[in-house]
Amino acid sequence: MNYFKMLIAYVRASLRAITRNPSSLVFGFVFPLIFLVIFGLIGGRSFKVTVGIIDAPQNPLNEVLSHVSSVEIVRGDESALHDKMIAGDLDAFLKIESAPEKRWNVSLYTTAGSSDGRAFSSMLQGITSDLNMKLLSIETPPVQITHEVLQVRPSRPIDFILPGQLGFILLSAGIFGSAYTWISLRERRVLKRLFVTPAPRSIFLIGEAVSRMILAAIQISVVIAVGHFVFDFTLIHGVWTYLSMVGVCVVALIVFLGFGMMVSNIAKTEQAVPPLANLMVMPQLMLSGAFFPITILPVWLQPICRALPLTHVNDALRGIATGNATWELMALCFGILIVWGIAVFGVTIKIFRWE
Amino acid sequence: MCVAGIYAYIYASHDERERTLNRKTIVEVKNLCKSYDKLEAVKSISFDVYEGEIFGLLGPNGAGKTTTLEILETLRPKSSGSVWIDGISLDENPNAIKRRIGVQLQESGYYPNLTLVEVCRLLAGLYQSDADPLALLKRVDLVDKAHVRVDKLSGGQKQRFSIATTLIHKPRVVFLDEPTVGLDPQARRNAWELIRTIRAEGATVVMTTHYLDEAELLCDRVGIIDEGKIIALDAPHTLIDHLLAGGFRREKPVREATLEDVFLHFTGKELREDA
Repeated sequence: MNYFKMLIAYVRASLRAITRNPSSLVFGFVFPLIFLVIFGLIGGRSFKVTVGIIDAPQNPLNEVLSHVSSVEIVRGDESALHDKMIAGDLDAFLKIESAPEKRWNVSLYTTAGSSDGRAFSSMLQGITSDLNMKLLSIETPPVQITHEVLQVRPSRPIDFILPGQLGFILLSAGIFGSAYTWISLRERRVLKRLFVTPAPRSIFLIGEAVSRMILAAIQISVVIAVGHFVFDFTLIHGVWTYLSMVGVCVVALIVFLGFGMMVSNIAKTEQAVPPLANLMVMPQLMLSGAFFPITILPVWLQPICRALPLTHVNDALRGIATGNATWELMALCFGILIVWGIAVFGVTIKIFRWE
Repeated sequence: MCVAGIYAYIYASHDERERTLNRKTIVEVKNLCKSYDKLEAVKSISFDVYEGEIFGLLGPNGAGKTTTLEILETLRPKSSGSVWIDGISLDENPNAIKRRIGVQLQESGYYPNLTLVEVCRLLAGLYQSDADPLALLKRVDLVDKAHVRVDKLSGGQKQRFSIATTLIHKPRVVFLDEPTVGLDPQARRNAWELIRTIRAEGATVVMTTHYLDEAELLCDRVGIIDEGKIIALDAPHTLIDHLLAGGFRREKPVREATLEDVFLHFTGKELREDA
């Protein structure tokens, strides 16, 4: 008996069947790519403020501001700019008045609650202090700032959001995909028909897992490729980073496949699958930092978030992508996955029904 | 051999005589028992099936037909007794038995979203058979449906496909559990032809059915099961002769034709595939 050939025949059939199922394509490719495009576009917007300057005689500040790329200047008289500010077209406006002895008084107007206005205010402070020192011919000011940016966590939205999408793929492929497959194979007596063949039952278990892994690897590759080439997603060590991410995803998928098989055995009918599967998918999706960082959630929720497997998968994937994955981070991720794996498969083996 | 048996032997066709002379047992069931908790579903059943015959298991619902069949098919463990198929003991080597039998189950499904050819390829892979799916589908007249999904087939086509899948690995014995249930008279006749072809090509057929006209026409021998026991076992015409010899007479005189003959006379014998 050539078990490998049996496995290949099974995996081929299973992959064919999955790719013909519209919902697996929607959840596996369409949704993650839509999310990626939406968040990618949000992330692609760089900081830009629109500032009105009331027509004023020649002055040095005017000169400097017109060279700052993140400031778009609109000119006009006071009442016109005031109206634009109320309409929401301006983040701030400036009134520059000349005073005797080559001095200038600058009045800054922003609206309450405008974060872009606040950002421009501190920007203006910096620009003005540089300008003042230049005008006073001070070359070495007593307090000097040197600024160094440390890359400790993903700073760009795409580096945060893309690994979250991979988590979403793993969760839906693992839990929804496997729960539906197993219950329909069982309830429609497909398994029974397969059991009269000489293939051992483990072929069907391994076959289902392998075909899901192959499909998930393809989905993940598509999402990473689109993210990398279209939205400049960071792959710090190129192909190796990509392969490590796929590796983590495959291990995580095994745990989520276990969740799916557990659901298919708790559910008595096919109709009972969606609520049960959603119960495992939705809270995990919200609490694992797939779409937004868990640090914005209330403190009492954090321990729950930290206990979920997907949280650690997301952390590990983000770490690998940006080159910040420490051994501790990876050990924690795999440790949590192993603990969940043992728990989930322990329950599944106890309640598993072939018929 | 009883008088009726001799009578049946003398008047049997040449083929039938040939088969009776070279009786070789291919399925041997001895004192087979199956109980679930307190329910005894099968109570010490024994019967032999001879090579090359069509053997029918008849009986009312819940009599134990399907349980018996599923034990022979290696799907269900037996409580006691012994089973040999093609000389192999079920206890010693169920896997070798699986390779020698083809099984059609009652209302079994196929892997979802696959076409007929793809299902055949999957099963061929699991049986390690190099059967050509198209040649197989040609045998049951389904070549034009080769790339259609199984769930798009009509009842008769599904049943034919289901029988075809049992032949993928050229089995020695084919088990068919109610192969004609739910079929229209035309499709039933078509299925009978198919079953006869399987036998003609050298396989032994063991089937269950609720239709006694079908058993009478199709089966060389039948075993009637009730309440987990075999209560009669012989060729259909022998059983009928026995009953008549015991003084049985139908209440109404039998007519030369049945309503089914009328139906087929008006609607024709050709298979309807659009249903």
